[in-house]
Amino acid sequence: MTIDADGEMSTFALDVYWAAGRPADAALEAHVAGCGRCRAYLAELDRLAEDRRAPAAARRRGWALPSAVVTAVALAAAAVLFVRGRAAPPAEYVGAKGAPAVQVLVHRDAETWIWDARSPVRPGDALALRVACEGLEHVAVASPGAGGWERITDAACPAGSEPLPFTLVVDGAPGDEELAVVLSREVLDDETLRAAVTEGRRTQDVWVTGFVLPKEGGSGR
Amino acid sequence: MTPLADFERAYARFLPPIRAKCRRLLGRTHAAEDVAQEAFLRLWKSGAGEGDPHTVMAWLYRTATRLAIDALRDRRRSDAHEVTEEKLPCAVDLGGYVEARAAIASLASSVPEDELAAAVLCRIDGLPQPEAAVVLGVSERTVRRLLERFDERTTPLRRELSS
Repeated sequence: MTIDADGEMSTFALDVYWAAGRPADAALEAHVAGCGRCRAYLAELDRLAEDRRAPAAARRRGWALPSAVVTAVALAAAAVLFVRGRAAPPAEYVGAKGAPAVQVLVHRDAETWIWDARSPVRPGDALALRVACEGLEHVAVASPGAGGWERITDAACPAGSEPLPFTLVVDGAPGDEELAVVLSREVLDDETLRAAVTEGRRTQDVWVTGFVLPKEGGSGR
Repeated sequence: MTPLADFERAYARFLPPIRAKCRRLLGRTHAAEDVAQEAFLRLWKSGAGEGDPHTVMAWLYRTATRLAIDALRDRRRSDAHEVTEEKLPCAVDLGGYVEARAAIASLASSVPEDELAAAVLCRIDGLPQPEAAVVLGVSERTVRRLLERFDERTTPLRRELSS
């Protein structure tokens, strides 16, 4: 693949090699074995990967606070929603090719990062949601309440990739935080919303995903 | 394979190289992390993350290059950061890298994006012209022409930097 006429490897070639899991390639391996700069570059990619896998508490350094998130957090005073939860639904952090997708952003102190589907959140953490609606037009967020799943907020699907214009703040109640995100073509009434979440409905008109965020000091799972 | 596993696998494989790429142009800055995340988010939304690594990486390089140029234009400069030869693979000439980075940062707002993208890929990332042509989806001849135009524009600046 990838070694040029001068016997050198580009960053692109090294990146592909690394991303492919360093497949067997005798010429390339020989080059890397004899090239300190390329070895150091691959080690730097390993380090960045470890950095990404590190626990959130250790990883929270230097990540950007995207301007849209600043906006969302600034709105928190006006639109703080306390998320409480118990028993509930499916997965955590979902994305699929061409399908709708939802990403949770955690804001703590002065830093924001994408929730990794595992790390616990803390009371006081602000959560923002970034959605890829893929043609659906409305998004509703629900959490478990006394009468089952209850709508806590609605918004129009954003045109771009900016977070939704509200922030959820983790409270101090024990137990995991549970959320359901419902994307739909039309605004759903409460009963339809509840049924869609309960069923985990995924049709052309309604798409539901759930998040269970463990909380530090909570019951865990 | 679940969608979550697809996403996690793509994130683990492709985000570190894209973070490294963004840092080469933007330094170890919040902007670099933002651009890397945004490029990955676009990959995720496009559904292109399950292709072969070469195709996906080319897509990410193209997208991240354009997003990084936008970030540079917003800031009108890149944050100074020290780069030593040890941090760059052997195909990247350190002197050329430093010079190109200064030129791109200075001229980001006045040079057409295609020229900047070719300069970033060939002078910052150290891609040979055929590889840059694949990433940009243009011919090698076009890449050569874009670099020639970029060099013509930056000649006065390079003279200034070298004096």
